[in-house]
Amino acid sequence: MEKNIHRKLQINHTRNKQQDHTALMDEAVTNFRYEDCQNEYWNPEEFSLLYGTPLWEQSTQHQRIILNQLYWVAYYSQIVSAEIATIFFNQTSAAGLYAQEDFRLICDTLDLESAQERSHIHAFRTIAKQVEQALFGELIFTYPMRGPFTETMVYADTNALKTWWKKIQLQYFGLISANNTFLACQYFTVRGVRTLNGKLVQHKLSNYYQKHSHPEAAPIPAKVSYYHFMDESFHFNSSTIISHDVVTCLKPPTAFERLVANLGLWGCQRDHFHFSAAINGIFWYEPALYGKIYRVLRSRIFEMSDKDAKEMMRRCFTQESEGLQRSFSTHQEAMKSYQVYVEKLDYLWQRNRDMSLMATNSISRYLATQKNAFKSF
Amino acid sequence: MAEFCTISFPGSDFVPITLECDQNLSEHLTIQNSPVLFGCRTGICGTCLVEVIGNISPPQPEEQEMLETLAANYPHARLACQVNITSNVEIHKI
Repeated sequence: MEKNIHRKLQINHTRNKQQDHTALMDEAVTNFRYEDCQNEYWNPEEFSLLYGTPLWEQSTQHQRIILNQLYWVAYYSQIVSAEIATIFFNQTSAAGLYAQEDFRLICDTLDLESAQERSHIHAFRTIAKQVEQALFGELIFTYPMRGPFTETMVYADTNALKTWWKKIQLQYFGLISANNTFLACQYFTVRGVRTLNGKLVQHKLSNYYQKHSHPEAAPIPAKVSYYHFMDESFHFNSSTIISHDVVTCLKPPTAFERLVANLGLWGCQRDHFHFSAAINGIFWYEPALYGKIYRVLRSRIFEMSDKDAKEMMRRCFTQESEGLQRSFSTHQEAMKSYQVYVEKLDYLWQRNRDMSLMATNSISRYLATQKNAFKSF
Repeated sequence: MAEFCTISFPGSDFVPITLECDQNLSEHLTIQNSPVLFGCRTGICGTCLVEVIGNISPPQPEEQEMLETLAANYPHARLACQVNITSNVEIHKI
């Protein structure tokens, strides 16, 4: 491996060990009591569930605080899924990179990252479950632990056949990437793109803690957002070094390797095709979220009748709003960021370099999808 | 009264941006209004590596260590996410 690349890996690993935030995160979560922070925002206001929609406009201050906290719960429930998959593919990729000189440094880095992911998952689930039990007496956005071979977009546009096919593809990719250095590196292109998306939002979430007038007194979920943001910076860096630099030390990919690599990125575009008016920054398929939002509106927090809840949802999901514009803007920024991130990877298909699948979505297409789907809700 | 600084991007199509001084660039620049991609946003990944021409504070040791691996031959190289602007600056993508 080229000396400068090794040096980058070394700095990343050393600093990650020195600045590891998992102990702080574990300690914070141990002290989490929802009643201690139930009356305050946990994120900047614009990062609230259904922010900028008719629901937000007519909510009381108390309801807005709950919507702000529910954004945190819903957002990090999706991150749990992504991190479960990351733990598995870190291991298969480490096996695939075994054939390289200096492999140990990369493997040690990935081991550290996997341990950090487990701490993150524990934090997100502990807080989210406690909040949902306190607010609703049931779990709405939080779901039981799951394996890695499922959609990481929790509410993807899917069915039993597509779910089965995705599982087969992920299992096969895990198998071949464990025995193929190029594909092991390629995994980090996809991981880098996904983390890049996360960073766009998590930077803003972590700001709430960083700009808090008394950071020590900030709500624990805001601290967790910040600690997570810091750990993930090192993960994004290892993704970048492996997918941009280490890959240049390998033989050019074969036609098969190029195919698999491109299919992986195409799948990422599919996962990130939608955008959500309910949750700015997560690319969920909105109709799969209707049932969750309905339960929130019928809960004691909003106390809406069946008719009022459905009418509110119709207005939020099938009409233009500031919230929808903001979510679309985040989707556009993510797409443009991905284009720049992959621009030097010459083995990618043009349609992956251009992110042309993501580019076909639009506000008018979103509204048409919602109007059609809402009829059968 | 607040003082203002202008960030310009010569050699690109991006229009200059005027901000109050002492702002962090990563809070205001995006890939849509500048040629800078912010990745990790904490001074590690190097995606926001740029040349900055203007009168700003020198890099801290951690940023300097990264710059030595990312752009040893560029005396004005900086990680944009670590930069607070204190004067008008020109930014060039490396």
